Amino acid sequence: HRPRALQIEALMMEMQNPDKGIKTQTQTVMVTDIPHAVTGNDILQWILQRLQVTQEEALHLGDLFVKYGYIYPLQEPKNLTLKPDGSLYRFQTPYFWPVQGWPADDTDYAIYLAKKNIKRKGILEEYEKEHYNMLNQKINYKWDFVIMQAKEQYKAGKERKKADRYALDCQERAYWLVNRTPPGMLDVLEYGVDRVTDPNENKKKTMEVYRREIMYYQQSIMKSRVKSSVSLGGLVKYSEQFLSSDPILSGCLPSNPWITDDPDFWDFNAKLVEIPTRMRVERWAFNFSELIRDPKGRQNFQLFLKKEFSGENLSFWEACEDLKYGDQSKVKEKAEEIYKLFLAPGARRWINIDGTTMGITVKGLKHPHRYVLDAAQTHIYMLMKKDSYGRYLKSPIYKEMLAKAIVPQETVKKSGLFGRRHLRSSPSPIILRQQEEEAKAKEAATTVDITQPCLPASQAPCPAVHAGTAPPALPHSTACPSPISVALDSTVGTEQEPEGISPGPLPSSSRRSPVATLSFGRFLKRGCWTSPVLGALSPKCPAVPHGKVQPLGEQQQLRPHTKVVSSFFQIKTDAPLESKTCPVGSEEGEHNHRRALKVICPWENPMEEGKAG
Amino acid sequence: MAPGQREACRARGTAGRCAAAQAALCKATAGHRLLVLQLGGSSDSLGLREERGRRSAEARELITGLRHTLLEGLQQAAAGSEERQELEQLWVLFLSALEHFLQDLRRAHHLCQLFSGQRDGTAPLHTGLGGRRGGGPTQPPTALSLEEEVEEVRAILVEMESRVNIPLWTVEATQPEGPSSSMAGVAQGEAHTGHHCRVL
Repeated sequence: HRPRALQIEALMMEMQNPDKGIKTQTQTVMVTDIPHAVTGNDILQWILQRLQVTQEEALHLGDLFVKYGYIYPLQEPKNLTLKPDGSLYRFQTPYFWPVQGWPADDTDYAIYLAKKNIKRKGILEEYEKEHYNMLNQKINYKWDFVIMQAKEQYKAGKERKKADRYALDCQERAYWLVNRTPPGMLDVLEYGVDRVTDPNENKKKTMEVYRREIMYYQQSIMKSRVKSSVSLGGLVKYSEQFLSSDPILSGCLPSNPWITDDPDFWDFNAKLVEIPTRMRVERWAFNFSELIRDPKGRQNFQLFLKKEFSGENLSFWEACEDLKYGDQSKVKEKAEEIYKLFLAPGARRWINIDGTTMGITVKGLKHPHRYVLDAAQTHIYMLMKKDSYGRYLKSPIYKEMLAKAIVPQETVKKSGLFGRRHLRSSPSPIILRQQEEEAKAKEAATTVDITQPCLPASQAPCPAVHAGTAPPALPHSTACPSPISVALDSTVGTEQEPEGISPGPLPSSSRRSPVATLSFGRFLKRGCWTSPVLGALSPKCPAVPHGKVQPLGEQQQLRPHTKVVSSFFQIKTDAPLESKTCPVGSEEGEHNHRRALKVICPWENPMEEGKAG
Repeated sequence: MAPGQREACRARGTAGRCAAAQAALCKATAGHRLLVLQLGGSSDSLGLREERGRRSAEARELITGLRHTLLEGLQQAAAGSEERQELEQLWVLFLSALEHFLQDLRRAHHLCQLFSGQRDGTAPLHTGLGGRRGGGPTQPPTALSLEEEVEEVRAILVEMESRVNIPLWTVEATQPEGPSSSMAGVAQGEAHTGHHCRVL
């Protein structure tokens, strides 16, 4: 839809009222007298008097009339401004008024140009010639019509008397000056993108309409504004900072794969590569969003946070992202799960947000939707940004990563006919996803589960076990570890297979081994069979041959047919294991895990037990 | 004359008649446009409006006739024949003229609504044009109101577009292009394919 219509017509008609309008004069062109000319000054005075506005406003308004083509200048046709002096103007015929629904037609313009050319050959200006040629191509099929019509219109015009002819020509020329602006002139009719709603629609003014209008204006007022100098400065700063990282402007190491056919660049910069490139790690120091949007960055950051016992912040943030961008059907239960895990009083991985935000969140959770946790997520984001981020950059964890980071050697590979390297395909996305799941499970295994019924209540809502060896190269997905986590050592997934699933003593180096054993037992009793962790433990899962894979550890097991949701809530949601290779866990899976210890959500009634557990 | 030849003669006649009618239509629409241009202006008057109505009626008559003849011609013409090509060219011409005319009718409708309630002789707007006496066709004005006119032509246009399946881009202009070339003399258009066109 075009923007709101100009409502000048009524004013135009008033201006030309024989009694109350502007007084007219006669324009003399050579020997002909053409009536109905008005001076610029008279227009100005009339507006001043009629509308009771300031001089400046009146001049501006009058100028707009000319620019939009309601009035056209006689002596300087191309100068569409209102001169408050004796310069002459005339009113445009209503046929040529700018009408909302009818933008000027290409065919009409073609006819006009053809007519002009017929009248005097070669009179077309450069830009008009360009338009003409372009139109000839664009509407070539109509061209016979265009020429024919131009001829007829020309002939019809000639039947009129000279003064009329002159006036008609002026009118038409003025119209096209407004609607097909010559280069260098301001195109007033340019309005940008079409609007989504029709601003000219006559809506009945109901309460609802007004209510929406008020809301709209309130939000408009609240919109933040930035001075253009500031935003431009920001753009410049961004460009300077990222210049060296831009593969087009600064090249990429080892080489541009599109040119040399060498995909090493992509391999070195894979999402969760074991050792990232130097440039990438340096980018994490640019600003917090660079760190948090890079999965590898998040992984490294999480290591640091765990040291500071605030790992749940990032986990919460990731859970919120998963909620926002995940399945619509799972939104409600995900939101509840997140609440129970992170926000509820006594939650296992409780995060610290202020009372107001908590209040908003709980209120919103009555009617959960994707963005219900936005307030809390933003709070935690800002917390991490302002508090942890600074320390992270100074931490040995980051510095170590920076030191380890590689700088690939530049290579100039020629892909000649001979010695052309064998192109292999990148790993299948299915396999990559499975790797992510595995890594997530491993991650889950390193997090302490404090809500075990046998644990003393006095145990602080503590953070993950910091097993000495952090798994360095887990293909972490963006989502968070499973809520059903176990105080297993991180090496559980890489363990040699125990016989079956009996809760044997784990060769755990964790500081909490007694807890670990107990928890593991509980874990098993809860029947988290769907966990890929267990799948990995089962001896029956063969390793699936695949392409290039991150070194995850020795016993990397992959189950090609597992329907596991790559989400925060993998255990609960996709209960039936369809794996043909791991029959062990599939049958008893579903019904057991629901009996996990629940945190009560304040908006639920206690009868809902056993449901969203 | 052999039957084929007879048909050919008739066909050429069809195309020729259509071409003549087309030229008349262009003239009528051009005249009509000139009148619509003046609506609401200083030369607007009851007389002008009547004249516009007469021009419009003339145009519409031509349109109905052309439509009938063209349709018939296209149905009878053998596919791929030269005279078929001519008819297709005329068809596109006709369609363009129809669109153009309809646009002017709509504008006229809009303007008449804006400037209704005309007192005879007094015009509200000072556009510099003087009134005109007489001229134009002398038939009695038809009783159709502007809305009805618009509707009638619109319906014809829709019908034409749906009944005849001639892709517009298959027609090439016969007129020379470019403002630099001579406007006098019309070169014959090159042959173009129209095999896939058919009249439904």
